[in-house]
Amino acid sequence: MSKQICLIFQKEFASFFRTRLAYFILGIYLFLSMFCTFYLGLYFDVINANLFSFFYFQVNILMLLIPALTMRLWADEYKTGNIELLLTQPLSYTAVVIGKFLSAWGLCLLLLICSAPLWLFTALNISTDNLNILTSYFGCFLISGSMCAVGCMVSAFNKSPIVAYLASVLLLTLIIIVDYNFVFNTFSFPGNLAIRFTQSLNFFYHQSTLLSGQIGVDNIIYYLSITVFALWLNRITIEYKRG
Amino acid sequence: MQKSTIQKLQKSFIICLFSLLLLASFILINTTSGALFSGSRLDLTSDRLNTLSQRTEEIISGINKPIHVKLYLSSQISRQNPVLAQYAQTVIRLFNRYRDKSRHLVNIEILDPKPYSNIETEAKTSGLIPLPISENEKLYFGAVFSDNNGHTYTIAGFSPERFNYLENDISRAISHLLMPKRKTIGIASDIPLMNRGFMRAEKAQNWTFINLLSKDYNIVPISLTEAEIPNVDALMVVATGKLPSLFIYALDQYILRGGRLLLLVDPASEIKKRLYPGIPDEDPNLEALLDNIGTHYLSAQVLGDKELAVGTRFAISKDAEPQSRLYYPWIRINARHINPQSPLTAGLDAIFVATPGALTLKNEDGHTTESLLTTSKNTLTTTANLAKFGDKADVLRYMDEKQQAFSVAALSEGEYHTIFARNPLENSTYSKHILPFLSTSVAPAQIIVISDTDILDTKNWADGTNISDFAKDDYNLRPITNNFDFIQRSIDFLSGNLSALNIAEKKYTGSRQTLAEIFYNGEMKNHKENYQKISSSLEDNQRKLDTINIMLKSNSAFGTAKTLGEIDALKNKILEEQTGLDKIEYQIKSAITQKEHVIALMHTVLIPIFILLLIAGIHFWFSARSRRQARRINNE
Repeated sequence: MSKQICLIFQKEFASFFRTRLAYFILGIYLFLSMFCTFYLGLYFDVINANLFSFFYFQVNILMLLIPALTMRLWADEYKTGNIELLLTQPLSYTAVVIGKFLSAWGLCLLLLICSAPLWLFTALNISTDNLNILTSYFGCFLISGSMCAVGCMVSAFNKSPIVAYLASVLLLTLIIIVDYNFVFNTFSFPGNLAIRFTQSLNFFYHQSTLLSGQIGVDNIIYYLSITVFALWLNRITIEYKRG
Repeated sequence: MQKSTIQKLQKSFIICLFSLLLLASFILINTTSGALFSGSRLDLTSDRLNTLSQRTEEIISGINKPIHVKLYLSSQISRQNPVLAQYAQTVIRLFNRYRDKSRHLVNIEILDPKPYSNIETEAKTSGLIPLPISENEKLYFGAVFSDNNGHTYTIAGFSPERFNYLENDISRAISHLLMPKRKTIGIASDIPLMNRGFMRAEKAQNWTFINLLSKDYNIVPISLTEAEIPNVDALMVVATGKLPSLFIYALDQYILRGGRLLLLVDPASEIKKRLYPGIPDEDPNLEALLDNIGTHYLSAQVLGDKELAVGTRFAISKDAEPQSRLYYPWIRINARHINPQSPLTAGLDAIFVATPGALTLKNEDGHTTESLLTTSKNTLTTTANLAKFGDKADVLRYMDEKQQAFSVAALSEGEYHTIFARNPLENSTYSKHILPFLSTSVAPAQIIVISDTDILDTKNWADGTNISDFAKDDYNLRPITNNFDFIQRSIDFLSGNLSALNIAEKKYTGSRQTLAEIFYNGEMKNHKENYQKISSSLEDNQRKLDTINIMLKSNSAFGTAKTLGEIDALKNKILEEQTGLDKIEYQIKSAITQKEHVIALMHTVLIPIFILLLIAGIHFWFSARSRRQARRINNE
């Protein structure tokens, strides 16, 4: 199984570079991240021991770029008809789903690594809280993983990459911005219970916890559960579509 | 219906059901993990920024009723001021910690006080101060704490300048609501500390430390003509000179009745020197009382310290240029000389005292005396009159070396005897209206003696954008020493408000400087000499102008043509020097802006291009290697 995953991962990861998509995404990611850090995040005027200006915008940037990475993973296979070829290979569905997901996640890791010169520059000028920054990177990595999984899942539903991109962005926006308060208010849950529910399901809450240098089991479970459930749905969709 | 269609529908139904089950399990897993693990997190920040202090944890564990926190946060703040937006996240995160740790007994409600809304009116009436970041609209960032009994406590504004005190401020607010009854503190002083209708309108306000104390306590002024101290939970006496004998009697009897007294004495008060320049004092008369509680005090001597002295700019002679030098009577007592064992001083880092007196301690039967703040052994003394009326150069010139450590603050606890051989009010009209005379203690007393009153001066302990002797709130006050913490702890201790005791500044070692500040300091180094020269000349000229203006006000005959000419010349010079300073500031700012643009451009364009080229190179190398391998296999 791991060999199969590795095979799919290599193929998909290489195809990102072959199609120049990786360069395009990497360029846009670095430009957007640095632009937001320096011009919107006021990098010079904010206390940046934990690279606040950089991480503050990461979720929004990743939310826009990751669907562009994942949009063609399944949609292109449907469009070109390669899906039949792929799924008739001696590979399990799970291996294909995980392999494709890992290739996108791997590229996200590369994106994050490429932003390291900013960390280096900051550390040379002020005393940085390196463990906090590392935790924030870990948080971004987890967040990007869950976004990749959602992107893969949406891509599996669509034949058109553009529709897959737009639907992924829409779904991710919903997951990120939705505040479950209104649900609990409608059903008049008791205050504390409502807060516990809202907090546990709130993307922003987990994100801000991780980016503030804290790691909790609940944060990791939250992002891993999104990832696992999205990949599960991805697999079911493939199976369903294959009939 | 065809069999295949039915099968398809069945499959769809199963998938929908499965998806719903998946969603339900997602919610279940996350709510369970949230309930189980949200209270315990690994804080990986180097300064444990997200970890509550031991004292706060104790306060939270003592919460036995719901506390509602309304956090007023204008949404415009995040758009207009990223520094505040960053700070707002820190504040919200900290509040969430309180809520999680208190098992949700602390409820947080975040409100956006939009202009002209009911929430804005509510924020205003609760005492929140609008932030000084927007001229067009009023933006708020503060909190109102309340309990079910209607008691409230307001933090008028959260400011990044008080970052180190954030937890302290929130914990104090909560402990205030947990206090069963608001305590009363009496304040008696021979200098105007409270609004009691003084001649000059600008002095008819409360001093900052009183405004801050009054957030936690009822503060009542006590007249120095009293023969008996009214019923208060603690008494604070500020004595810079001679106190009325009647009041000394009142203090003596207050101590014997088990009083809680914070006594600040000063052989040469700089506050008084500033308020009443050149007015001589009568000889102080508190030595007997202080001796009686085990603190021997030399009222005619001012203490200096070579090791702990603070630098300031002054001219060593009339003709010399002002230069930065150590001024020995200004002492910054550091952690090594602060008693770490006492709850009153544990964890404090620095206390600034100016021209303090010397205390020597002795333990006697019935009471114990413990030093809280001590000088180093490199001490010097000079006469109090020289410190009051002489200039700094003279004070330094006539200081005698002592080579002995003195106490500057001490705690005395226990039982005492009266300082009077017999009742001095016997057969007087007072004796009928006051409690009977006591010759020995009927209850143990607690007395904290501080041999300096300048410890209270706002400029000696705080810095900030709105620094004033009469600041109404601690908003924007950035403490630079622990003077106020010490006073607050003393009052907490004496009044029995033990739940609030010992919450103080949180220490952070990480950088609290922005890059802009670092660049500014770096650029300033190039202009430092010129800048200091102009600003010191500006200060001198401003002082000269003020002196002439004061003399003009007091003596109209002084306004001769020569004087008026002098005023004009001074004004022109001041204007010229201010322009000079502005020019330097502009040059520094231009250099910084240029530097920032280069760095931003480098990170936004050049480094990404370099990274892309590097990756393209690696990709090309891999592809070439694969092609070579493929060619070799073909050839073989």
